[in-house]
This record gives sequence, C-alpha cells and structure tokens, in this order.
Amino acid sequence: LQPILLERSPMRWFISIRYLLSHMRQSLVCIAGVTISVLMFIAMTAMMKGFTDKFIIETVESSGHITVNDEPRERQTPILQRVYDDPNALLVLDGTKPREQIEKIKNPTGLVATLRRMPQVLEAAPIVTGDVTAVYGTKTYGIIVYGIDPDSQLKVTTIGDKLVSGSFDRLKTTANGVILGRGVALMLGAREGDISKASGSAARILRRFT
Amino acid sequence: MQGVVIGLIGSTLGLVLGKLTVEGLRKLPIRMEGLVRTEGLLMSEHLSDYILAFVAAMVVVLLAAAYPARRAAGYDPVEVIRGAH
Repeated sequence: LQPILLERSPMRWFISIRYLLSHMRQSLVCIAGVTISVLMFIAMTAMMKGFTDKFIIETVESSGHITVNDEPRERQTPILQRVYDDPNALLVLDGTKPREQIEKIKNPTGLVATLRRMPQVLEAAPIVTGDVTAVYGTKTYGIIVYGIDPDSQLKVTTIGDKLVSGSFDRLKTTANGVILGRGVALMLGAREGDISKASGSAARILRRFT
Repeated sequence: MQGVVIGLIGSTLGLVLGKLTVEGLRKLPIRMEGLVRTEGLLMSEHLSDYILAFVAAMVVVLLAAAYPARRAAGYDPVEVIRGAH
C-alpha cells in the first residue's frame, strides 16, 4: 500500500504521508486522539439529546403547553372591617360563617371555543381538579382527581400513549369512570373494572374505575 | 497536509466508532426510575451532530497543525540540512 500511495500522491501528499508512515507510533497517537474526541462527542451528544427529548416528552407534552387558570379574585372585606378601618381595632361578630370560595373560570365553554378559534392554538381541553379520598376495600388514599374531556385531552397531551389498561373511550360510556395512575392503583390494589368509593369535594365524579 | 490526513482518518474512524458506541449504549439494559423512567439509556442521534463533530475535529486538527507548519515553513531548507536548527 505504501508504494502505491507514494507513487500516486502529489509532492505535498507524498511528503506528509511518508512522514506519517515513518513516525507510525506518533501518527497513531494523534489519530487515536482525534478518533476518541469525535467518538465521545457523538456518544455524549446522543445521550444528552436522548434524555432531553424524553424529559420534554415526560414534562411538557404530558400536560398542555399553556394552562389558563381562573383569575385571582379579591376577597370581600368583612363588613366590620369596612366600617371600622382601624388596623388596631379588635372586631368580633358572633354567628358568622366563612363563605366557601370556589375557584372556577367564568363561562369555560365560551373560553374554550374562543381559544380554539385562535389560529395559533391547535386544540384546547377543559380540565377541572379536586382532592378526594378514594376508598377501596379497607384502604383509603388521598388523591387528586382531574376531570377531563377525553377527546380533546388526547389531542393536547401524550397521556393516551401511557395507558396500560382500558381505554379513554370508555370514559365516555362509563358513568363516573376514572383512570387511575400506576402509583394509586398499586397503593389501593385496584385493577381495571373495580368499583371504589370516594369522598370529598370532588367525590361526585369518582365512583367507578375503568 | 499531515494535519489533514490525521484529521480525515481520525474523524472518519471517530464517526464510525461513535455510531457503533451509540448503538451499543442503546442496547444496554440499564433500568432507571425517577423523574424519567426508562429501561435503557436514551440515545437520540441527528445527522447534524455527526457533521458538527467532523467539522469541529477537522478545524481543531488544522489549527493545531497550522502553527508548527508555519514555523517550519519559515526555515531555510539549506540551513536545516546543514543542521542549523
């Protein structure tokens, strides 16, 4: 190989290749240095990008890119404080009941329709949340329930790909159906089709596992 | 020229071995549970990464070869043969 290379190379190539071949060990070390650098760069970049992509899919794609919450409303000042605005005054009113503040968006259906009309928005999915205590047999477990519209939810998140048992379509045909996360299902020991009870402010929507 | 030869051979070998390494790491059965749950190392390759690695290696090798080559070019060949340097 060496004579062919040397014969067919122009003068500069001839000198350089001859030098490299005559100092074989030095040349191999140099080539190995470049090879290892390129190898490490490719391997590390592939690994970093792999984990970055997975992280983005797990975090960003598993929920909507933009979440619209209800606007924080100013709590109404109690009537005594409005009359006596002295901050040092001790105001006591017997028999008062605290008013429950329910966080909700005004006219959510209209808002979703407005969002869907926006050209930059591909899909909008309504969602409500609430804390409940799930009871299955002798086990109870505090969980957060998300009320969703199955069709639109599947378009805005990748949650449909993570379903290991059952289907989202059954939510539309099963009254009070719920899909459990793996952790909750393991804690309760519940399986697909089991029936559970739930209590709490959002308990009305949790009656049956799908 | 030596830099070009070293860069070309080294980078090409690096690209081939890098591809093989990525494929090998992808098949390693490493189970991870935490923020991200996976059954193996997550590898994501793009052609742009390979091109960038090749170009970057060539640039670095050429820069590293340029200084000694410039210095050697400044010598008078006759003086070098006489053993002045």
